[in-house]
Amino acid sequence: MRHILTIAQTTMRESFRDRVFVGLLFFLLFLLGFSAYISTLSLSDVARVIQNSGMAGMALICLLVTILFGAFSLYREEERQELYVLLNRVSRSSYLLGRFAGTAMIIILFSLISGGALFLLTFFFGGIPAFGLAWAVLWNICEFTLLGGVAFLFYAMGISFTLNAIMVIGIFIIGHSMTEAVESFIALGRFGSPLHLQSVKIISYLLPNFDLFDFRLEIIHQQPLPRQRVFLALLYWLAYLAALLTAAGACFKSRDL
Amino acid sequence: MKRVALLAFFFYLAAVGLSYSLQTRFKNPLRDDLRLEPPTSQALAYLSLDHRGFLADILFIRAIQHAGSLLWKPLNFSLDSPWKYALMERVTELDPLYYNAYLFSGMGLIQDFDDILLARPILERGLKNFPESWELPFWLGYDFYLYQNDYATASRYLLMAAEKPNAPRSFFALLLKTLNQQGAYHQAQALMSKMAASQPAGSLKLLYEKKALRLQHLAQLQDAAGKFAEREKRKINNLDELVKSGLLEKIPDDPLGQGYHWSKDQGRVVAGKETN
Repeated sequence: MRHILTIAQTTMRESFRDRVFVGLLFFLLFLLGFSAYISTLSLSDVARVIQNSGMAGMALICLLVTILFGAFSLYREEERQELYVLLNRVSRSSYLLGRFAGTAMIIILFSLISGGALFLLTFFFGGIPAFGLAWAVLWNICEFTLLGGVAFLFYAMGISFTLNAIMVIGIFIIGHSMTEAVESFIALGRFGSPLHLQSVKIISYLLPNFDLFDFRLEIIHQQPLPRQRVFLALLYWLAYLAALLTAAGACFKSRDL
Repeated sequence: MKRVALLAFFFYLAAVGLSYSLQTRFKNPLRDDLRLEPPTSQALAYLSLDHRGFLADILFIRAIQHAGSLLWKPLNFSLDSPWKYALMERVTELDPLYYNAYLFSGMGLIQDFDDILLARPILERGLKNFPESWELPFWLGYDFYLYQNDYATASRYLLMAAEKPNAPRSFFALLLKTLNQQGAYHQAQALMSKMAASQPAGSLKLLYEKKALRLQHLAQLQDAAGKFAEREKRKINNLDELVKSGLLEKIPDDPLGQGYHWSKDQGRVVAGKETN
Protein backbone atom coordinates (compact mmCIF):
# COMPACT_ATOMS: atom_id res chain seq x y z
CA MET A 1 0.00 0.00 0.00
CA ARG A 2 2.82 2.40 0.90
CA HIS A 3 4.47 1.77 -2.47
CA ILE A 4 1.24 2.43 -4.31
CA LEU A 5 0.76 5.78 -2.52
CA THR A 6 4.38 6.79 -3.09
CA ILE A 7 4.20 6.01 -6.78
CA ALA A 8 0.86 7.85 -7.01
CA GLN A 9 2.38 10.93 -5.36
CA THR A 10 5.42 10.77 -7.63
CA THR A 11 3.15 10.49 -10.67
CA MET A 12 1.27 13.60 -9.59
CA ARG A 13 4.46 15.57 -8.91
CA GLU A 14 5.84 14.60 -12.29
CA SER A 15 2.62 15.69 -13.94
CA PHE A 16 2.67 19.10 -12.22
CA ARG A 17 6.22 19.66 -13.51
CA ASP A 18 5.30 18.60 -17.04
CA ARG A 19 4.73 21.41 -19.55
CA VAL A 20 1.74 19.49 -20.88
CA PHE A 21 0.02 20.12 -17.54
CA VAL A 22 0.35 23.89 -17.98
CA GLY A 23 -0.70 23.55 -21.61
CA LEU A 24 -3.84 21.67 -20.60
CA LEU A 25 -4.64 24.30 -17.98
CA PHE A 26 -4.42 27.01 -20.64
CA PHE A 27 -6.54 24.89 -22.95
CA LEU A 28 -9.10 24.52 -20.16
CA LEU A 29 -9.08 28.29 -19.70
CA PHE A 30 -9.65 28.74 -23.40
CA LEU A 31 -12.57 26.28 -23.36
CA LEU A 32 -14.15 28.07 -20.42
CA GLY A 33 -13.76 31.40 -22.20
CA PHE A 34 -15.33 29.86 -25.27
CA SER A 35 -18.28 28.65 -23.16
CA ALA A 36 -18.80 32.13 -21.77
CA TYR A 37 -18.55 33.69 -25.24
CA ILE A 38 -20.87 31.24 -26.97
CA SER A 39 -23.46 31.72 -24.24
CA THR A 40 -23.85 35.34 -25.35
CA LEU A 41 -25.11 34.11 -28.72
CA SER A 42 -28.03 32.32 -27.14
CA LEU A 43 -31.26 34.20 -26.59
CA SER A 44 -31.59 33.98 -22.84
CA ASP A 45 -30.20 30.57 -22.03
CA VAL A 46 -26.80 31.75 -20.80
CA ALA A 47 -26.62 29.35 -17.85
CA ARG A 48 -27.67 26.37 -19.95
CA VAL A 49 -25.19 27.03 -22.75
CA ILE A 50 -22.32 27.57 -20.29
CA GLN A 51 -23.11 24.29 -18.55
CA ASN A 52 -23.53 22.31 -21.78
CA SER A 53 -20.41 23.63 -23.49
CA GLY A 54 -18.50 23.46 -20.20
CA MET A 55 -19.36 19.78 -19.71
CA ALA A 56 -18.28 19.05 -23.28
CA GLY A 57 -15.02 20.92 -22.62
CA MET A 58 -14.50 19.05 -19.35
CA ALA A 59 -14.87 15.75 -21.19
CA LEU A 60 -12.39 16.81 -23.87
CA ILE A 61 -9.81 17.89 -21.31
CA CYS A 62 -10.14 14.67 -19.32
CA LEU A 63 -9.80 12.62 -22.52
CA LEU A 64 -6.50 14.42 -23.21
CA VAL A 65 -5.41 13.90 -19.59
CA THR A 66 -6.18 10.19 -19.82
CA ILE A 67 -4.15 9.78 -23.00
CA LEU A 68 -1.29 12.19 -22.22
CA PHE A 69 -0.85 11.66 -18.49
CA GLY A 70 -2.28 8.19 -18.26
CA ALA A 71 -1.02 6.31 -21.27
CA PHE A 72 1.84 8.42 -22.62
CA SER A 73 3.68 8.78 -19.30
CA LEU A 74 3.82 4.98 -18.95
CA TYR A 75 5.46 4.57 -22.35
CA ARG A 76 7.83 7.48 -21.67
CA GLU A 77 9.01 5.93 -18.42
CA GLU A 78 9.60 2.63 -20.18
CA GLU A 79 11.49 4.38 -22.97
CA ARG A 80 13.71 6.22 -20.49
CA GLN A 81 14.46 2.87 -18.85
CA GLU A 82 13.33 4.31 -15.50
CA LEU A 83 10.76 1.56 -15.27
CA TYR A 84 13.32 -1.19 -14.70
CA VAL A 85 14.86 0.66 -11.78
CA LEU A 86 11.45 0.97 -10.16
CA LEU A 87 10.45 -2.64 -10.80
CA ASN A 88 13.55 -3.80 -8.93
CA ARG A 89 12.13 -2.22 -5.80
CA VAL A 90 8.33 -2.62 -6.12
CA SER A 91 6.06 -5.30 -7.48
CA ARG A 92 4.64 -4.85 -10.95
CA SER A 93 1.04 -4.69 -9.77
CA SER A 94 1.94 -2.06 -7.13
CA TYR A 95 3.66 0.00 -9.81
CA LEU A 96 0.66 -0.20 -12.13
CA LEU A 97 -1.84 0.57 -9.36
CA GLY A 98 0.29 3.46 -8.15
CA ARG A 99 0.52 4.95 -11.65
CA PHE A 100 -3.21 4.49 -12.09
CA ALA A 101 -3.95 6.18 -8.77
CA GLY A 102 -1.74 9.12 -9.76
CA THR A 103 -3.50 9.43 -13.12
CA ALA A 104 -6.87 9.20 -11.41
CA MET A 105 -5.85 12.05 -9.08
CA ILE A 106 -4.98 14.22 -12.10
CA ILE A 107 -8.36 13.40 -13.69
CA ILE A 108 -10.09 14.29 -10.40
CA LEU A 109 -8.10 17.52 -10.17
CA PHE A 110 -8.98 18.66 -13.69
CA SER A 111 -12.63 17.65 -13.20
CA LEU A 112 -12.84 19.64 -9.97
CA ILE A 113 -11.15 22.69 -11.50
CA SER A 114 -13.48 22.55 -14.53
CA GLY A 115 -16.55 21.98 -12.37
CA GLY A 116 -15.67 24.79 -10.00
CA ALA A 117 -14.96 27.22 -12.82
CA LEU A 118 -18.21 26.26 -14.56
CA PHE A 119 -20.12 26.80 -11.35
CA LEU A 120 -18.67 30.30 -11.00
CA LEU A 121 -19.30 31.16 -14.67
CA THR A 122 -22.89 29.90 -14.47
CA PHE A 123 -23.44 31.86 -11.25
CA PHE A 124 -21.97 35.16 -12.43
CA PHE A 125 -23.07 35.13 -16.06
CA GLY A 126 -26.15 32.95 -15.89
CA GLY A 127 -27.39 34.07 -12.50
CA ILE A 128 -28.15 30.59 -11.16
CA PRO A 129 -26.21 28.40 -8.67
CA ALA A 130 -25.81 25.17 -10.64
CA PHE A 131 -25.25 22.69 -7.82
CA GLY A 132 -26.06 19.86 -10.23
CA LEU A 133 -22.58 20.36 -11.69
CA ALA A 134 -21.26 18.34 -8.76
CA TRP A 135 -22.92 15.31 -10.35
CA ALA A 136 -21.34 16.24 -13.69
CA VAL A 137 -17.92 16.22 -12.00
CA LEU A 138 -18.59 12.83 -10.39
CA TRP A 139 -19.73 11.16 -13.61
CA ASN A 140 -16.84 12.72 -15.49
CA ILE A 141 -14.43 11.17 -12.98
CA CYS A 142 -16.13 7.77 -13.28
CA GLU A 143 -16.03 7.87 -17.07
CA PHE A 144 -12.40 8.85 -17.46
CA THR A 145 -10.96 6.72 -14.69
CA LEU A 146 -12.69 3.80 -16.42
CA LEU A 147 -11.21 4.90 -19.73
CA GLY A 148 -7.84 5.23 -18.00
CA GLY A 149 -8.21 1.65 -16.83
CA VAL A 150 -8.71 0.59 -20.44
CA ALA A 151 -5.53 2.48 -21.45
CA PHE A 152 -3.60 0.78 -18.66
CA LEU A 153 -4.85 -2.65 -19.73
CA PHE A 154 -3.72 -2.00 -23.31
CA TYR A 155 -0.32 -0.86 -21.99
CA ALA A 156 0.00 -3.96 -19.83
CA MET A 157 -0.75 -6.10 -22.89
CA GLY A 158 2.26 -4.54 -24.64
CA ILE A 159 0.37 -2.51 -27.24
CA SER A 160 2.28 0.47 -28.68
CA PHE A 161 1.35 3.99 -27.62
CA THR A 162 -0.11 5.07 -30.97
CA LEU A 163 -2.34 2.03 -31.23
CA ASN A 164 -3.25 2.38 -27.54
CA ALA A 165 -4.32 6.01 -28.05
CA ILE A 166 -6.36 5.14 -31.14
CA MET A 167 -8.07 2.25 -29.37
CA VAL A 168 -8.80 4.35 -26.30
CA ILE A 169 -10.45 7.01 -28.47
CA GLY A 170 -12.34 4.23 -30.27
CA ILE A 171 -13.57 2.80 -26.95
CA PHE A 172 -14.59 6.33 -25.91
CA ILE A 173 -16.68 6.76 -29.06
CA ILE A 174 -18.18 3.26 -28.92
CA GLY A 175 -18.92 3.66 -25.20
CA HIS A 176 -20.97 6.75 -25.96
CA SER A 177 -22.84 5.18 -28.87
CA MET A 178 -24.22 2.10 -27.12
CA THR A 179 -27.76 3.34 -26.52
CA GLU A 180 -28.17 4.65 -30.05
CA ALA A 181 -26.71 1.46 -31.53
CA VAL A 182 -29.04 -0.77 -29.52
CA GLU A 183 -32.06 1.41 -30.34
CA SER A 184 -31.29 1.45 -34.06
CA PHE A 185 -30.71 -2.29 -34.08
CA ILE A 186 -33.97 -2.87 -32.24
CA ALA A 187 -35.70 -1.50 -35.32
CA LEU A 188 -33.44 -3.58 -37.57
CA GLY A 189 -34.09 -6.65 -35.47
CA ARG A 190 -37.81 -6.35 -36.13
CA PHE A 191 -37.29 -6.50 -39.87
CA GLY A 192 -33.87 -8.10 -40.18
CA SER A 193 -31.81 -10.64 -38.36
CA PRO A 194 -32.43 -10.98 -34.60
CA LEU A 195 -28.84 -12.18 -34.44
CA HIS A 196 -27.69 -8.63 -35.26
CA LEU A 197 -29.75 -7.23 -32.40
CA GLN A 198 -28.45 -9.80 -29.93
CA SER A 199 -24.86 -9.21 -31.08
CA VAL A 200 -25.16 -5.45 -30.54
CA LYS A 201 -26.75 -5.98 -27.10
CA ILE A 202 -23.96 -8.37 -26.06
CA ILE A 203 -21.32 -5.88 -27.20
CA SER A 204 -23.04 -3.15 -25.17
CA TYR A 205 -22.80 -5.39 -22.07
CA LEU A 206 -19.19 -6.43 -22.63
CA LEU A 207 -17.55 -3.13 -23.63
CA PRO A 208 -17.45 -0.09 -21.30
CA ASN A 209 -20.84 1.60 -21.58
CA PHE A 210 -20.41 5.30 -20.81
CA ASP A 211 -24.08 5.96 -21.56
CA LEU A 212 -24.75 4.61 -18.07
CA PHE A 213 -23.03 7.73 -16.69
CA ASP A 214 -24.97 10.12 -18.94
CA PHE A 215 -27.13 12.36 -16.77
CA ARG A 216 -26.31 15.59 -18.58
CA LEU A 217 -29.85 16.51 -19.63
CA GLU A 218 -31.13 15.86 -16.10
CA ILE A 219 -28.38 18.11 -14.72
CA ILE A 220 -29.20 20.88 -17.20
CA HIS A 221 -32.92 20.73 -16.41
CA GLN A 222 -32.19 20.50 -12.65
CA GLN A 223 -34.08 17.24 -12.35
CA PRO A 224 -33.34 14.82 -9.48
CA LEU A 225 -31.28 11.79 -10.48
CA PRO A 226 -32.98 8.43 -9.88
CA ARG A 227 -31.28 6.91 -6.84
CA GLN A 228 -31.40 3.31 -7.97
CA ARG A 229 -29.88 4.15 -11.34
CA VAL A 230 -27.14 6.22 -9.67
CA PHE A 231 -26.30 3.42 -7.24
CA LEU A 232 -26.17 0.77 -9.98
CA ALA A 233 -24.06 3.01 -12.24
CA LEU A 234 -21.53 3.52 -9.44
CA LEU A 235 -21.49 -0.21 -8.73
CA TYR A 236 -20.93 -0.87 -12.45
CA TRP A 237 -18.02 1.59 -12.46
CA LEU A 238 -16.43 -0.08 -9.44
CA ALA A 239 -16.82 -3.61 -10.79
CA TYR A 240 -15.60 -2.80 -14.31
CA LEU A 241 -12.62 -0.79 -13.03
CA ALA A 242 -11.66 -3.59 -10.65
CA ALA A 243 -11.84 -6.06 -13.56
CA LEU A 244 -9.69 -3.82 -15.79
CA LEU A 245 -7.00 -3.20 -13.16
CA THR A 246 -6.90 -6.85 -12.13
CA ALA A 247 -6.55 -7.95 -15.75
CA ALA A 248 -3.92 -5.25 -16.35
CA GLY A 249 -1.97 -6.44 -13.30
CA ALA A 250 -2.07 -10.04 -14.48
CA CYS A 251 -0.96 -9.09 -18.03
CA PHE A 252 1.83 -6.85 -16.75
CA LYS A 253 3.12 -9.56 -14.40
CA SER A 254 3.45 -12.09 -17.17
CA ARG A 255 4.79 -9.60 -19.73
CA ASP A 256 8.38 -9.94 -20.83
CA LEU A 257 9.90 -6.46 -20.33
CA MET B 1 19.66 36.73 -29.67
CA LYS B 2 18.02 40.11 -29.03
CA ARG B 3 18.65 41.22 -32.60
CA VAL B 4 17.08 38.04 -33.99
CA ALA B 5 14.05 38.43 -31.72
CA LEU B 6 13.69 42.06 -32.83
CA LEU B 7 13.95 41.05 -36.48
CA ALA B 8 11.29 38.38 -35.95
CA PHE B 9 9.06 40.98 -34.31
CA PHE B 10 9.42 43.41 -37.21
CA PHE B 11 8.65 40.68 -39.73
CA TYR B 12 5.55 39.87 -37.69
CA LEU B 13 4.46 43.53 -37.63
CA ALA B 14 4.90 43.67 -41.38
CA ALA B 15 2.75 40.57 -41.79
CA VAL B 16 0.02 42.06 -39.55
CA GLY B 17 0.09 45.30 -41.51
CA LEU B 18 -0.17 43.46 -44.82
CA SER B 19 -3.06 41.40 -43.49
CA TYR B 20 -4.89 44.59 -42.46
CA SER B 21 -4.25 46.18 -45.83
CA LEU B 22 -5.42 43.12 -47.76
CA GLN B 23 -8.58 42.78 -45.72
CA THR B 24 -9.55 46.44 -46.05
CA ARG B 25 -8.75 46.72 -49.79
CA PHE B 26 -10.10 43.38 -50.94
CA LYS B 27 -13.18 42.83 -48.82
CA ASN B 28 -14.77 39.38 -48.97
CA PRO B 29 -18.10 39.49 -50.80
CA LEU B 30 -21.14 38.85 -48.63
CA ARG B 31 -22.22 35.27 -49.20
CA ASP B 32 -25.32 33.36 -48.31
CA ASP B 33 -25.18 31.08 -45.26
CA LEU B 34 -23.83 27.63 -45.91
CA ARG B 35 -26.94 25.60 -45.25
CA LEU B 36 -26.33 21.89 -45.14
CA GLU B 37 -29.27 19.56 -44.70
CA PRO B 38 -29.16 18.69 -40.97
CA PRO B 39 -28.51 14.98 -40.36
CA THR B 40 -31.29 12.84 -38.90
CA SER B 41 -31.84 12.99 -35.15
CA GLN B 42 -30.44 9.49 -34.80
CA ALA B 43 -27.23 10.45 -36.59
CA LEU B 44 -26.96 13.57 -34.42
CA ALA B 45 -27.44 11.48 -31.28
CA TYR B 46 -24.50 9.32 -32.41
CA LEU B 47 -22.37 12.36 -33.28
CA SER B 48 -23.12 14.10 -29.99
CA LEU B 49 -21.34 11.36 -27.95
CA ASP B 50 -23.90 11.87 -25.18
CA HIS B 51 -23.54 15.67 -25.26
CA ARG B 52 -27.02 16.07 -26.73
CA GLY B 53 -27.69 19.28 -24.83
CA PHE B 54 -24.51 20.88 -26.19
CA LEU B 55 -25.29 19.88 -29.76
CA ALA B 56 -28.86 21.17 -29.34
CA ASP B 57 -27.43 24.51 -28.15
CA ILE B 58 -25.11 24.78 -31.16
CA LEU B 59 -27.92 24.04 -33.62
CA PHE B 60 -30.22 26.51 -31.83
CA ILE B 61 -27.59 29.25 -32.01
CA ARG B 62 -27.21 28.51 -35.72
CA ALA B 63 -30.94 28.95 -36.24
CA ILE B 64 -30.95 32.20 -34.22
CA GLN B 65 -28.07 33.61 -36.26
CA HIS B 66 -29.77 32.73 -39.53
CA ALA B 67 -33.02 34.34 -38.41
CA GLY B 68 -31.17 37.39 -37.05
CA SER B 69 -29.23 37.89 -40.29
CA LEU B 70 -32.43 39.33 -41.75
CA LEU B 71 -31.68 42.46 -39.74
CA TRP B 72 -28.41 43.23 -41.47
CA LYS B 73 -28.12 41.31 -44.72
CA PRO B 74 -29.24 42.83 -48.02
CA LEU B 75 -32.70 41.91 -49.25
CA ASN B 76 -31.41 39.59 -51.98
CA PHE B 77 -30.52 37.10 -49.24
CA SER B 78 -33.60 35.16 -48.33
CA LEU B 79 -34.38 33.24 -45.19
CA ASP B 80 -34.67 29.51 -45.57
CA SER B 81 -37.72 28.55 -43.53
CA PRO B 82 -37.69 24.75 -44.14
CA TRP B 83 -34.01 24.65 -43.20
CA LYS B 84 -34.33 26.70 -40.01
CA TYR B 85 -37.33 24.67 -38.88
CA ALA B 86 -35.52 21.43 -39.68
CA LEU B 87 -32.79 22.66 -37.32
CA MET B 88 -35.34 23.45 -34.60
CA GLU B 89 -36.88 20.02 -35.03
CA ARG B 90 -33.47 18.45 -34.40
CA VAL B 91 -32.94 20.72 -31.38
CA THR B 92 -36.20 19.64 -29.76
CA GLU B 93 -35.58 15.98 -30.59
CA LEU B 94 -32.09 16.07 -29.06
CA ASP B 95 -33.42 17.79 -25.93
CA PRO B 96 -37.20 17.36 -25.62
CA LEU B 97 -37.28 19.51 -22.48
CA TYR B 98 -35.70 22.57 -24.10
CA TYR B 99 -38.64 24.90 -23.48
CA ASN B 100 -37.13 28.04 -25.02
CA ALA B 101 -36.56 26.17 -28.28
CA TYR B 102 -40.30 25.44 -28.60
CA LEU B 103 -41.14 29.00 -27.66
CA PHE B 104 -38.70 30.47 -30.16
CA SER B 105 -40.09 28.25 -32.94
CA GLY B 106 -43.50 29.84 -32.52
CA MET B 107 -42.36 33.32 -31.62
CA GLY B 108 -39.07 34.81 -32.82
CA LEU B 109 -38.54 32.44 -35.73
CA ILE B 110 -41.85 33.25 -37.44
CA GLN B 111 -40.88 35.54 -40.28
CA ASP B 112 -43.02 34.34 -43.17
CA PHE B 113 -46.77 33.71 -43.39
CA ASP B 114 -46.43 29.97 -43.78
CA ASP B 115 -43.79 29.54 -41.08
CA ILE B 116 -46.49 28.64 -38.56
CA LEU B 117 -47.31 25.55 -40.63
CA LEU B 118 -43.68 24.43 -40.20
CA ALA B 119 -43.63 25.42 -36.53
CA ARG B 120 -46.84 23.61 -35.69
CA PRO B 121 -45.49 20.03 -35.34
CA ILE B 122 -42.65 21.32 -33.15
CA LEU B 123 -45.00 23.27 -30.89
CA GLU B 124 -47.45 20.34 -30.73
CA ARG B 125 -44.58 18.22 -29.41
CA GLY B 126 -43.90 20.98 -26.91
CA LEU B 127 -47.51 20.84 -25.76
CA LYS B 128 -47.05 17.16 -24.90
CA ASN B 129 -43.83 17.78 -22.96
CA PHE B 130 -45.10 20.91 -21.21
CA PRO B 131 -48.82 20.30 -20.62
CA GLU B 132 -49.06 23.14 -18.07
CA SER B 133 -47.65 25.82 -20.37
CA TRP B 134 -50.10 28.47 -21.60
CA GLU B 135 -47.50 30.18 -23.79
CA LEU B 136 -47.09 27.39 -26.34
CA PRO B 137 -50.79 27.06 -27.25
CA PHE B 138 -51.10 30.87 -27.09
CA TRP B 139 -48.41 31.37 -29.74
CA LEU B 140 -49.93 28.65 -31.90
CA GLY B 141 -53.30 30.39 -31.71
CA TYR B 142 -51.90 33.89 -32.21
CA ASP B 143 -49.83 32.82 -35.24
CA PHE B 144 -52.75 31.05 -36.90
CA TYR B 145 -54.89 34.14 -36.29
CA LEU B 146 -52.36 36.63 -37.56
CA TYR B 147 -50.66 34.81 -40.41
CA GLN B 148 -53.24 32.34 -41.68
CA ASN B 149 -56.55 34.07 -40.76
CA ASP B 150 -57.57 30.59 -39.61
CA TYR B 151 -59.92 31.63 -36.80
CA ALA B 152 -61.16 28.11 -36.09
CA THR B 153 -57.65 26.74 -35.44
CA ALA B 154 -56.65 29.94 -33.66
CA SER B 155 -59.59 29.80 -31.28
CA ARG B 156 -58.96 26.11 -30.55
CA TYR B 157 -55.42 26.82 -29.39
CA LEU B 158 -56.28 30.06 -27.62
CA LEU B 159 -59.02 28.24 -25.70
CA MET B 160 -56.48 25.58 -24.76
CA ALA B 161 -54.19 28.34 -23.50
CA ALA B 162 -56.98 30.05 -21.57
CA GLU B 163 -57.70 26.85 -19.66
CA LYS B 164 -54.12 26.44 -18.42
CA PRO B 165 -53.25 27.46 -14.85
CA ASN B 166 -51.67 30.92 -14.56
CA ALA B 167 -52.87 31.93 -18.02
CA PRO B 168 -53.07 35.75 -18.05
CA ARG B 169 -56.37 37.33 -19.00
CA SER B 170 -54.73 39.80 -21.36
CA PHE B 171 -55.22 37.58 -24.42
CA PHE B 172 -58.88 36.78 -23.68
CA ALA B 173 -59.91 39.70 -25.88
CA LEU B 174 -58.06 38.08 -28.80
CA LEU B 175 -59.73 34.76 -28.01
CA LEU B 176 -63.14 36.39 -27.96
CA LYS B 177 -62.43 38.01 -31.31
CA THR B 178 -61.50 34.68 -32.92
CA LEU B 179 -64.56 33.00 -31.45
CA ASN B 180 -66.77 35.81 -32.69
CA GLN B 181 -65.24 35.77 -36.14
CA GLN B 182 -65.97 32.11 -36.65
CA GLY B 183 -69.38 32.32 -35.07
CA ALA B 184 -68.61 30.19 -31.98
CA TYR B 185 -71.00 32.24 -29.88
CA HIS B 186 -71.63 29.63 -27.17
CA GLN B 187 -67.95 29.40 -26.28
CA ALA B 188 -67.57 33.17 -26.54
CA GLN B 189 -70.53 33.64 -24.20
CA ALA B 190 -69.11 31.18 -21.65
CA LEU B 191 -65.77 33.01 -21.69
CA MET B 192 -67.41 36.42 -21.45
CA SER B 193 -69.52 35.29 -18.48
CA LYS B 194 -66.37 34.02 -16.75
CA MET B 195 -64.69 37.37 -17.33
CA ALA B 196 -67.74 39.21 -16.00
CA ALA B 197 -67.88 37.02 -12.89
CA SER B 198 -64.25 37.71 -12.06
CA GLN B 199 -64.65 41.51 -12.26
CA PRO B 200 -65.40 43.56 -9.14
CA ALA B 201 -68.71 45.47 -9.21
CA GLY B 202 -68.50 48.50 -11.44
CA SER B 203 -68.98 49.75 -14.98
CA LEU B 204 -66.58 47.20 -16.50
CA LYS B 205 -68.49 44.31 -14.91
CA LEU B 206 -71.73 45.76 -16.26
CA LEU B 207 -70.24 46.05 -19.75
CA TYR B 208 -68.98 42.45 -19.67
CA GLU B 209 -72.42 41.25 -18.52
CA LYS B 210 -74.06 43.07 -21.40
CA LYS B 211 -71.59 41.58 -23.87
CA ALA B 212 -72.23 38.12 -22.44
CA LEU B 213 -75.95 38.64 -22.89
CA ARG B 214 -75.41 39.80 -26.47
CA LEU B 215 -73.36 36.68 -27.17
CA GLN B 216 -76.11 34.57 -25.63
CA HIS B 217 -78.61 36.16 -28.03
CA LEU B 218 -76.28 35.62 -30.97
CA ALA B 219 -75.90 31.95 -30.02
CA GLN B 220 -79.65 31.60 -29.72
CA LEU B 221 -80.22 33.23 -33.12
CA GLN B 222 -77.46 31.18 -34.73
CA ASP B 223 -78.92 27.92 -33.39
CA ALA B 224 -82.35 28.91 -34.67
CA ALA B 225 -80.87 29.75 -38.10
CA GLY B 226 -79.24 26.32 -38.15
CA LYS B 227 -82.57 24.61 -37.39
CA PHE B 228 -84.24 26.68 -40.13
CA ALA B 229 -81.60 25.58 -42.65
CA GLU B 230 -82.08 21.92 -41.66
CA ARG B 231 -85.84 22.19 -42.00
CA GLU B 232 -86.17 24.41 -45.08
CA LYS B 233 -83.01 23.19 -46.83
CA ARG B 234 -81.92 26.79 -47.39
CA LYS B 235 -80.38 29.57 -45.34
CA ILE B 236 -82.44 32.45 -44.03
CA ASN B 237 -82.49 35.80 -45.85
CA ASN B 238 -83.13 37.81 -42.69
CA LEU B 239 -83.85 37.24 -39.01
CA ASP B 240 -87.59 37.91 -39.36
CA GLU B 241 -87.93 34.53 -41.08
CA LEU B 242 -87.00 32.88 -37.80
CA VAL B 243 -89.99 34.52 -36.07
CA LYS B 244 -92.35 33.80 -38.99
CA SER B 245 -91.32 30.12 -39.05
CA GLY B 246 -92.11 29.84 -35.35
CA LEU B 247 -88.57 28.98 -34.27
CA LEU B 248 -88.40 32.14 -32.16
CA GLU B 249 -91.02 34.22 -30.38
CA LYS B 250 -89.22 37.44 -31.14
CA ILE B 251 -85.81 38.81 -32.04
CA PRO B 252 -84.13 39.62 -28.69
CA ASP B 253 -83.08 43.21 -27.97
CA ASP B 254 -79.35 43.85 -28.15
CA PRO B 255 -78.23 45.08 -24.67
CA LEU B 256 -75.69 47.31 -26.40
CA GLY B 257 -78.34 48.86 -28.62
CA GLN B 258 -76.97 47.93 -32.08
CA GLY B 259 -79.31 45.09 -32.97
CA TYR B 260 -78.64 41.89 -34.90
CA HIS B 261 -78.84 40.93 -38.53
CA TRP B 262 -78.09 38.00 -40.82
CA SER B 263 -74.87 38.47 -42.80
CA LYS B 264 -75.09 36.75 -46.17
CA ASP B 265 -71.34 37.17 -46.77
CA GLN B 266 -70.35 35.51 -43.54
CA GLY B 267 -73.27 33.10 -43.45
CA ARG B 268 -74.12 33.81 -39.80
CA VAL B 269 -75.84 36.16 -37.38
CA VAL B 270 -73.82 39.21 -36.45
CA ALA B 271 -74.36 42.19 -34.20
CA GLY B 272 -74.76 45.67 -35.60
CA LYS B 273 -76.88 47.30 -38.28
CA GLU B 274 -77.09 45.72 -41.71
CA THR B 275 -75.18 47.69 -44.39
CA ASN B 276 -76.46 47.54 -47.96
